Amino acid sequence: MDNPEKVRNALKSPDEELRRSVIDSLRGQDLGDVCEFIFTAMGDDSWRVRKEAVNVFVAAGPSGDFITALLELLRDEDNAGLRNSAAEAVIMLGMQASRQLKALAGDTDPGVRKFALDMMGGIGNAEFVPVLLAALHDPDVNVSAAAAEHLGTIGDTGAVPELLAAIVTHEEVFFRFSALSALGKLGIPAPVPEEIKQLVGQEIFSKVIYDCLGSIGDHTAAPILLEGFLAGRKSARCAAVKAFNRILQRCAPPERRELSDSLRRLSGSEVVPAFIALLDVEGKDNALAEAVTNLLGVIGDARAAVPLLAPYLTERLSSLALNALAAIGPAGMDALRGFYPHADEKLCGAMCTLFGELGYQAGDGLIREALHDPSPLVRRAAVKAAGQRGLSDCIPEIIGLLGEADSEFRGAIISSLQILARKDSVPVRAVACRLADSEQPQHRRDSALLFATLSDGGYLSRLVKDEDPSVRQASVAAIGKLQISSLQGILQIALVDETPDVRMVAAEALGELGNAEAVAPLMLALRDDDSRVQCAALKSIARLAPEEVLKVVRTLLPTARGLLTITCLEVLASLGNDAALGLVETVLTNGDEELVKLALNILSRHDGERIVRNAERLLAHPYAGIRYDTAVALAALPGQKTRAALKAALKKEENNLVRDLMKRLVKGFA
Amino acid sequence: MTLSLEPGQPMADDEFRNIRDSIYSHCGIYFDDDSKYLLEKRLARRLSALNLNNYREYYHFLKYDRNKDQEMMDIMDVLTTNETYFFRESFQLAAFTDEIIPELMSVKSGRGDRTLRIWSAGCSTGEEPYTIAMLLKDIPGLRGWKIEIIGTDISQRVLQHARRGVYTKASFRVTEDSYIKRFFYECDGGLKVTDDIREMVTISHLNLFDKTRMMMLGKMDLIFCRNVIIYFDLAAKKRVVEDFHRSLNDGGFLLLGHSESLMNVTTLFTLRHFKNDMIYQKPERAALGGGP
Ligand SMILES: C[S@@+](CC[C@H](N)C(=O)[O-])C[C@H]1O[C@@H](n2cnc3c(N)ncnc32)[C@H](O)[C@@H]1O
Repeated sequence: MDNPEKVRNALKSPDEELRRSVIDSLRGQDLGDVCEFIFTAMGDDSWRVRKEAVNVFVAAGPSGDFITALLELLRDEDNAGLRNSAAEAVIMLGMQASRQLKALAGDTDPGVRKFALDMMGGIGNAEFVPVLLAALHDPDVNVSAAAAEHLGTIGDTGAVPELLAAIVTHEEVFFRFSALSALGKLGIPAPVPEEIKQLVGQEIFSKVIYDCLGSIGDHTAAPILLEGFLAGRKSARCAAVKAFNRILQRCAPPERRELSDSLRRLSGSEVVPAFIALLDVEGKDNALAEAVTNLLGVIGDARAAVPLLAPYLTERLSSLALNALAAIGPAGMDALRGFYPHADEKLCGAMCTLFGELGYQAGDGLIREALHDPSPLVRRAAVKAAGQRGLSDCIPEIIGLLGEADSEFRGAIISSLQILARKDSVPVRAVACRLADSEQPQHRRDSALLFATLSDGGYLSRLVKDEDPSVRQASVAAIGKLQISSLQGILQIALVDETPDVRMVAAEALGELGNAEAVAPLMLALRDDDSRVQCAALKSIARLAPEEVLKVVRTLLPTARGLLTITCLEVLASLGNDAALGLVETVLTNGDEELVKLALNILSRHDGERIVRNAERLLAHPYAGIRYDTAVALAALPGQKTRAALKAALKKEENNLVRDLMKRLVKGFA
Repeated sequence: MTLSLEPGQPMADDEFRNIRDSIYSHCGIYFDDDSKYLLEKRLARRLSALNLNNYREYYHFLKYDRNKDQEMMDIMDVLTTNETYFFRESFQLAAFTDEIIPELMSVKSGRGDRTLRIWSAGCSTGEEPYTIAMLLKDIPGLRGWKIEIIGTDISQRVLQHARRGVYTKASFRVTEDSYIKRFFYECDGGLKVTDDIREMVTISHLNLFDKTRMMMLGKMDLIFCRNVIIYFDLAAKKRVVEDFHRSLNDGGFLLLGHSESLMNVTTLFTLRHFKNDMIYQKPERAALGGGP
């Protein structure tokens, strides 16, 4: 350093940027010469300057004495910024500072002791657990509470008994709070500890106890939580509900049955309306909405049916609500039916859908009526439900709706008719014939779908020649699904259709037909200029001639690009044998990052040795993403060689994200 | 004020040659030097549609643009002559129904094979393959045979028309009333081919210069390729006809337009004299005297 005086002055400058840059300029200098300035800057008013100082200090790789000096800064009671910077630097230094930190935990100043524990939590190493356990009995409550808290952060479950014991001995609310929440984080389900039972009933703890039980409790927590459902404070009620749900989810089946029984006993009681009152699908607490929805289903009280329509109409909760309504059973559906006349169109539509979905027979009359509802939304739901319920007497009405339907509605009508055709094919065939003669291509396409359901190869073979590509496409697909092998010739010709979509489904359909004669034309289709057609052809070849596909892929792979290479890789992965994996290995040198990643992924599932073989090159790959994935893949493999490769790579790695990962992985090995 | 139409861009000689060669290598259609004006006129609209300033830019478009393949497909619609009609060239059709089909039937059924695959290559708007279907319908011996008639063309526009199967007067210039009565019905201001005939025909897209696609169609007993290769130069003709040879079963027939011949093109086929017409045939392997 040329001029300490200049630095000292610069650090006094009102210009924040100047102060920051002067600290930056100290990088790489002897720490003994510049430590003073760095420490000064750690207490700077400006957050940016402090940050720079912390970075420069850590980057200098300080030895023990400097760390001790750093820790001394924690004693500065006047400058919070300085204390925080020092703590941040210690956390960044990690286990390098462990010796000094442990010593500090025995400091006479409780503030310093607490700080030391906080930093241990920040570093998060299990080596600090004994120190923290000892600190549980610190006379200063702030210190002992911090010890409890950080035992939770570090996550060593061995701490549970001591935490429980400490809850009994420490009567301070603040400590118990921290300890309970730490126990919640440690979360290994177990019977409710006596220590916690003793606290139940003290209103101040109720929420945190329920939270804690949600994490660490097993089915024995049920009585406490059931009581919590009616707790005075709403936050406590919510916590109890969520906790119960969590426990229910993770229980083994016998215990789950026991819990469910205890819930079912609530049916008809005053708890149910209280529960329903907690149901807020638009609120921020997703876990709560999920828990209430789920538990209402378990309780099985029909009063919940109508309120459950709201979560049913909320995408995130829909399937949960459907299960709940299914669990409530016919009584719930009866309740819905009673509510129907008072509902708006959205709810009416939802109810029709439910009646169909849950097979509610007594709702059939309502579905029939809903087919004539003025609202298209309701009519559409009714059409779908009529199909699901198999109401073949409704076919004429459903067909009648075709005329005015938009494309989405028509889709619903056609899928409904597809189901109903199994019960009564005559009217469905009639409408299919009518649609087949329509001027409108989308109608002819619908007819292809219906003829497919009716397994009518004759009509399909006509529609496959339609002027509209979407009709040809639908018919070709249907021929494949129905496996009408007499139409193989037609499918082969469809391989030269001018519309790529048709060619693609033709290639798929030929695979579905299962006739090995199609392999030759499919081989030619591999040369199609549309890659989706090539991919479909390759997949079909893999189905029809698995013994030959390896050869095919071998010839394709060197020149294939993008999508086709991906399909090649998928085929190779499904073969999974040595020769196939050898080909996958060749893709590791591909210039396309995505392809290399995919190949890595396949090899890590099937043959990690091949990754080890290529490790050096992959860990030096220009794309950070590949280096990242390679590191992950290597870490999952046993052996010293993989470890050595990772360690070597870590030295050269420049990308922060990848380096952090590698560090963690190397540590994990230790 | 009068509305003045911009005069069309003239096409320089080298531009003409470049564009002509691109078209040729795409589909074999050859524009000789006298056709420069024709090409210029037909492509003028593409120039303005693509907002290009001159034919050099258009040539670059055809060569390098991301949409070049689609453009080439599209201009096939304006560059090809699609003139066709039902029952065109009655002599040849008589040879087809009265002599060739019976011969094929006896040879094939002798081998226990009762399938017939006929390809109308360059079928334009479909009159040719439908004519073939109508004629076959009247051959009683074919009942129970599996018949496949495939019509293909390079122009997408004509394929749409062919699949739709609705025709107006110009297509019926030599069609007998009895056929019209039996195989057509009124529809959309035209006459539509009945379903039973349409069912016999599959229309698909194919550039005769695309060997791979051609092979995908599989083996044929008979190929109609009438009034198509007249637009090709000798090398292109050779190439396509040799591919036809590969696509035919031994003993299969190739029917060209009445003004076309394979003289100087290839010796792969033998010319058979029938009562009504002379037709090219792919020799049976035995007849080639291939030896042991
Ligand atoms: C004059 S029409 C002949 C129609 C019918 N074969 C007849 O004789 O009445 C010629 C057709 O050949 C098609 N054609 C020209 N070049 C082609 C090529 N390279 N591949 C396929 N079709 C082609 C044109 O699109 C046109 O429809």
